[in-house]
Amino acid sequence: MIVIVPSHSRLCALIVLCSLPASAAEALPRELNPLRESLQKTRRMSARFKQTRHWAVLRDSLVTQGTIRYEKRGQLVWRMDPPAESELIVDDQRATIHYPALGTTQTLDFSAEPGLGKVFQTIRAVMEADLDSLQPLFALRVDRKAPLSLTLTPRSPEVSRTVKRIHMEFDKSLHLASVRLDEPSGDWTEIAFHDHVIETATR
Amino acid sequence: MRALSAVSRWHRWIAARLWTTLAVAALVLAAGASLYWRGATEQDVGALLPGGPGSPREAVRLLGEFGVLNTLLLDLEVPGATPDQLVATGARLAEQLRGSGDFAAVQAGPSTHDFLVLGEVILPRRLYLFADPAVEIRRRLEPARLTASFAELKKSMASPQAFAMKREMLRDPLNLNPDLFARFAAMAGEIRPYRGQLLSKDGRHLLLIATTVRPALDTQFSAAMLERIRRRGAEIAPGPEGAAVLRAVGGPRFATESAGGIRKDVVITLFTSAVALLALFYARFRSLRLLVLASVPLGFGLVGGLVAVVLIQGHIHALSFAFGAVLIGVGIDYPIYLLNSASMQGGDGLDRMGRGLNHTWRSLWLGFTTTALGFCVLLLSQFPGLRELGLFAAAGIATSFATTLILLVPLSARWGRRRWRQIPSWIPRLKSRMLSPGVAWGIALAVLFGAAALIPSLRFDGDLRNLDANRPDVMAEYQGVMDRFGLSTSDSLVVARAHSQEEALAINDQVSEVLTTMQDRGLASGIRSIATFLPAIGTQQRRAQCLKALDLAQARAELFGPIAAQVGFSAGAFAELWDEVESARDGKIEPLKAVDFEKTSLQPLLNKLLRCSADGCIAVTSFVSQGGQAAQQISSLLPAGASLLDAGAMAAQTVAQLPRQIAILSGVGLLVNIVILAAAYRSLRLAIVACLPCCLGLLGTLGTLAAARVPLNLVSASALVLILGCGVDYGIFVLQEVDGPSPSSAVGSTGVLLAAFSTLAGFGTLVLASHRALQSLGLAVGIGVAASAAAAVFLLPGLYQGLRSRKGSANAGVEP
Repeated sequence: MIVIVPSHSRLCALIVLCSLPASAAEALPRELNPLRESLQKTRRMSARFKQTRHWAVLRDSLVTQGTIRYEKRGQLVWRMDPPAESELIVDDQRATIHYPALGTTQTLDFSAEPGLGKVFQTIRAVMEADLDSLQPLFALRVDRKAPLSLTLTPRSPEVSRTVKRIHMEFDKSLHLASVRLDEPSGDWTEIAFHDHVIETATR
Repeated sequence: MRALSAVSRWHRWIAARLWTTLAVAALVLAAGASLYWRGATEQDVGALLPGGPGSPREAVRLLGEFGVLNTLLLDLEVPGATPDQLVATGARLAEQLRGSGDFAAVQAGPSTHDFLVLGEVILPRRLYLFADPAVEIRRRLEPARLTASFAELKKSMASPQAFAMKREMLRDPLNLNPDLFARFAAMAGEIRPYRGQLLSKDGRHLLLIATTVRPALDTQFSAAMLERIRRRGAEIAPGPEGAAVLRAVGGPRFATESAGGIRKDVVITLFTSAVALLALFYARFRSLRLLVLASVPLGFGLVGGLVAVVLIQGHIHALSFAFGAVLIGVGIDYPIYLLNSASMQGGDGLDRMGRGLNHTWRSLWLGFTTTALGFCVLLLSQFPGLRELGLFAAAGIATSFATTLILLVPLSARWGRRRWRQIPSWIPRLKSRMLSPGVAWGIALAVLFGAAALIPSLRFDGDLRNLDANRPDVMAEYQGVMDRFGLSTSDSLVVARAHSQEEALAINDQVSEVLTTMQDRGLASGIRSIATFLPAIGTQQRRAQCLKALDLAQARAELFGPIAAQVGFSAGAFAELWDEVESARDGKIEPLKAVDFEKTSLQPLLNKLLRCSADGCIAVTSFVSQGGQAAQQISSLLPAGASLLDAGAMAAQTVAQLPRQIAILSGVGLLVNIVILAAAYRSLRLAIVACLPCCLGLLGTLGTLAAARVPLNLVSASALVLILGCGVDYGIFVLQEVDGPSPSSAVGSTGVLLAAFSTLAGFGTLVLASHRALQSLGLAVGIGVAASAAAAVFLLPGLYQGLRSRKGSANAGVEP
């Protein structure tokens, strides 16, 4: 098990970058209205994912698979299959990381550590394609209308020290198909989603 | 007899101004008693023991601080609740308790933020926290272990949050951090920190550790505080499977239960002794007013003792006051002797009382002198507690005696009986069946030999906990909470003492090594030491030097690199780790200092374990010793400057000195009594005879306790002084009678029987108490006083006759 103790300077940067005022954000481009409506209708979503990490410290890419599940205004559950079995649960107050093989659980309380809280909430917003939450932090650019393709670029230099760019691809049904996170160091991670199961709200 | 004439003049003067005298006396009493309520009382038990660095007083104080004396453990259970629900309820409760004003601190678990702050302080200097970092690194470079560590690392790197934590993860491929944090966690028992709270292993119980604002021994506060907690517990919303349960255990609970038991005992014993004294005075004098008058010297004695101690020391310990008050209870004996004698005199009022005083004058003085000197001998003790007790009792008995001589005569002349009841006829009849000298000496020798045979088997129980009134169910509840959270009471401490903080920490590091070795051998457990997170700077530098034994280039290239490459890491992936090792080796990383922990969650523990004063610095390590032999073995291995304080050993070594001291002091007191009486009687033999009842009483008590397999304890051992004081008085008064002009008058014997019964009424009834300390006091004094009085009344005449027949008539100098 890795004990997560990030350096304070890094956390301070995260706190600063994540507490930028909402006024810095612009209105969502009109092209994104269908996506927004689709997301608003979604009550629950689950999908399989394949994550590929291309990090300089690794000779080969690090591939893991698992399941993502979220409920609107509820929890995001990120479960990785064995051998790297783990489960990350993020809600509004905390992130809980469970390692079944070790029988251990780590809980990060966002009220006690707002910097880390913002990191996890950003991860959650990306996975849920929650553009309203992401827009204050990132500038959104529509690369392609159909199927929809977006690029998110950090609005502040502090954010860009951690994330250089986020690229999101959607399928024709406006389901998130892939996310690519580019880091300033050149490292990047790609997560491809498939087998979506969407439960929409009935009106 | 000039003194007696002077006293008689005072009596006439007082009798003429009785109300004025009473008003002045009441004022004096009130002024003296006010000292007790002016906060001049001390409650720290340690204050009764010898002080100074490394002293028993410091040991008791430290053991108290590491124990549960002023700590309340709150165990919250909400049946069926999830850990999150339990945590939410616990957090609300903690907030309420913090705002209640009852607690100086309410500790819950460390938050994520606390961990982060601690990590910021410790992790950059983590290599200094391993006994030999080079060995530690080499161990972790072992291929199988390293491969497993890398596998774990890769798993973590796959997690979503890894992109934010990547750098920290890559700094610890050897898994050093989890092991360090596991060591810190081990100091807290089996508690599971969860979202800023402390949960039991099964996650069903939550623990809050509260330190009360007032001492636990402030039982009024403790009882009220526990009641408020009970009400808060009742207000907690029930869980899905039943009502919430809030258990409060620890020092304040024990103190409250104990005080409740004592209060009940005091009511019972006060009632029974009052009834017994009323019956005694009514049976002998047919007057309850005389009981009130006889109690006046007792009241003055109590205040006199208090004033003397407070004026000399500036304060009085509550225990000295309580036990001293019991000791000077014998102060009622002098009024009894005087009133008993006055009842047999002719005349009225002052005349009768004056004659009574004249008749008992010399014996009263001898009795007072011997008793007061017996108490004064306690002033020679090295124990401040015994010295304080001696001062209180000696000053109290002196005041009581003076009041008897000065006030009791005019008061009794004014409010005593008009017609005094004579000594009941059965007492002289009883005396006429006096034992023959041969039988008396035979019995005395039998008691002597019997006691000599039995006393070696008498056991001393030095465990102070056995004197308490803890209820078994309360103890079981406390133990249940301790077991649930894997907590252990720290009965053993090792104190590393030095002139400077750095020196103390250096000794403490050596102590930690010894204890860790002992823990590996199963002789110690539950070690809490600052060496875990704050070694001495010298130790940290030495550890850094150890890294020079590690060929970094070789370790990195031949041991680490190939396996890292094999599992897929690039060559420069862990450069930061090796830079850190190199910097530590070259002394480029600042060592940890106490000041670094100022804002961390370890600061309270650091404050507790590391202290500096004008006398120097101490670093304390607490642990649980697995038995007395283990403690001895650990003690023998400790470095110079470190000493073991073990609660069990304390009882054996420090407390056990008390009965030895009391035995020595009693012997000295007896010797002094013999010398004084020999000078007064101008006969050593008569002096010995007068002291025989108290000796037989003491031997009889010890022999009886040994035969009944009742161990002597701190309280009952201290009571032996009282048996000595009473017994000598009994001998003096009976000797006055048998050596006087009318040996069959029975005035002295009656006085002795009355005094003995009154003492039994006061002390003997304590045997009914449920509190073991009071019970043992009642038992020891009961046996001792009964045996001394019996020896004086029934044996002493025979013993005296035996001596006379051998020596001829000796002029004892005992005046009629």
